[in-house]
Amino acid sequence: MSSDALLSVVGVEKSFGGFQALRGVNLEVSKGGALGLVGPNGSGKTTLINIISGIYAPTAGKVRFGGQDVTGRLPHQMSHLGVNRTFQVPKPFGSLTVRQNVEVALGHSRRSGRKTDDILAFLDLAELADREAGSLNTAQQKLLDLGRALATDPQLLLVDELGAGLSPADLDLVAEKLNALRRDGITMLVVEHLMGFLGKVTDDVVVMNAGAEIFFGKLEAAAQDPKVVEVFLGG
Amino acid sequence: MLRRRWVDAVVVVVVVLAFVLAPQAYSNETLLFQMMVYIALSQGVNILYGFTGYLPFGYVGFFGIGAYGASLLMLHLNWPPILALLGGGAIAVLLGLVLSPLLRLSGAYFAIASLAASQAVYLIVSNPALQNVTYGPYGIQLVSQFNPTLSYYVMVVILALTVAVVLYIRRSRFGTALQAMRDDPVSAAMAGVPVVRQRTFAWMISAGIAGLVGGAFAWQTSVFYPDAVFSLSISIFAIVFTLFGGAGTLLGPLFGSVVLYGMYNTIGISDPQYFQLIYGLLIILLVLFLPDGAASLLKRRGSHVL
Repeated sequence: MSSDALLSVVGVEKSFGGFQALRGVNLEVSKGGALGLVGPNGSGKTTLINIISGIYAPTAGKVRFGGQDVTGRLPHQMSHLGVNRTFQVPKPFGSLTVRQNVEVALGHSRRSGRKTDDILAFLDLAELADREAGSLNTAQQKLLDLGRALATDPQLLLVDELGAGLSPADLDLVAEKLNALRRDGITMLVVEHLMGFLGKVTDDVVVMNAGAEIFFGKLEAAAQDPKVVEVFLGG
Repeated sequence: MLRRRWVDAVVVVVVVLAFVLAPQAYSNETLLFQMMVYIALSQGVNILYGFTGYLPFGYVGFFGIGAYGASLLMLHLNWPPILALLGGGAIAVLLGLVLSPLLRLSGAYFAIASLAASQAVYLIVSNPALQNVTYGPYGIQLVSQFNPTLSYYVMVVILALTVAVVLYIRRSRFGTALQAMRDDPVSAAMAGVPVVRQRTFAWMISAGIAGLVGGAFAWQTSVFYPDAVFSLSISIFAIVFTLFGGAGTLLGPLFGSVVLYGMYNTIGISDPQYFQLIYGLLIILLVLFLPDGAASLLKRRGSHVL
């Protein structure tokens, strides 16, 4: 295990009743790095994100963050420690305004956060600040998820299919924003199906299949790897 | 911010003045007292349902335990009524804490489980085997403490406190966090909100209000049987008044209680069949066309409803 790992996932397993969603996943994200996480539907990517963010407790294995064992911590505790995320299907506080959505997170953060106005301006949501979040379109709600995560001043950001459903122009914009956040020192784990997007925002990728990781390395190399090709295209 | 505080203060003062002055104009103090009881109870339901989305069908359990707690403290320990009322409120909060695991459920499951819990409390209190402690099915007599005037004004104070608490919650970070949890508990947790703790806290505040109101009701009524303070219709009234006016606002449940309880007393007692017809129709129309209550009529036109 390298010493500069901000996040290490060690032998994490997760079962739901008789179904084993994760069969011993190992991965590391180094401080300041950006790791992509790819794999077919059902390979366990979102389950892994849910475990790292504290929404599920793993059946076995350990999650270490910043050198500390954080296995089984609750979501709000992970948020206080500096781990946050976006959701595949955005989860805004629909009856609150855009501004209130960010303020709830800011008000409960234990870390020195950014200002609401700065976050909204960064995400181009400033003009929508007083709109009810439930009335935004999906792309805007995804950005709001990101804004709420940023309000908690995360060290590690788990980005779960932020790109899915966005127009090509929006995709470029979102990729730029994620890169800007990385330059600010935020470490990222990015789940994504869109390889072009992933190539823009990550250094390396982990490929998962059926609850285990089968490849680690550069995205280009992944496309050449026979096991990866088999998983995606069929043997 | 300052202007909002003024608005809040004015609302509390208006409510207090209305019920302090009302007996001058209208001689039926019992009705006015009961109206206060239902305004306060519907605000208690409002704190839980309006802000967290949990519909407590068993809310009457806290009212009943507050009524019994206060009465038994007066009868067994000779506590003065006002202290006994506070004791009744505290006992209701404690019951809320004991029942807080119910909050793991949601939706209809929570509604039904809370109903079952309130009936369990009722059956324990009214059990003849506990006659030495609770007087079982024979009910409570507080004749020596009977003081309709003082208990009326104490109820005014409880109502003012309840209104102030709801206003505080509406304006506070705590209230926004509750609404966030209602919209999406997972996102709220990721935003750093300790969801279970905050929801339990709201539940206990709501329980405490019902307990205090129950204690005041017991003192004012002074002679009652267990089914009078554990009647499911108390829960239903408080819930319907809240929904009719508009949950999540302060004025909605207040408006609902005054209008519907007023109507209940105007025709509900003289012509119960018409009352039930109108009530039934109202509930159907409400569910179909105004699920967010009367307040949503104003909100749709862009007005802000306190």
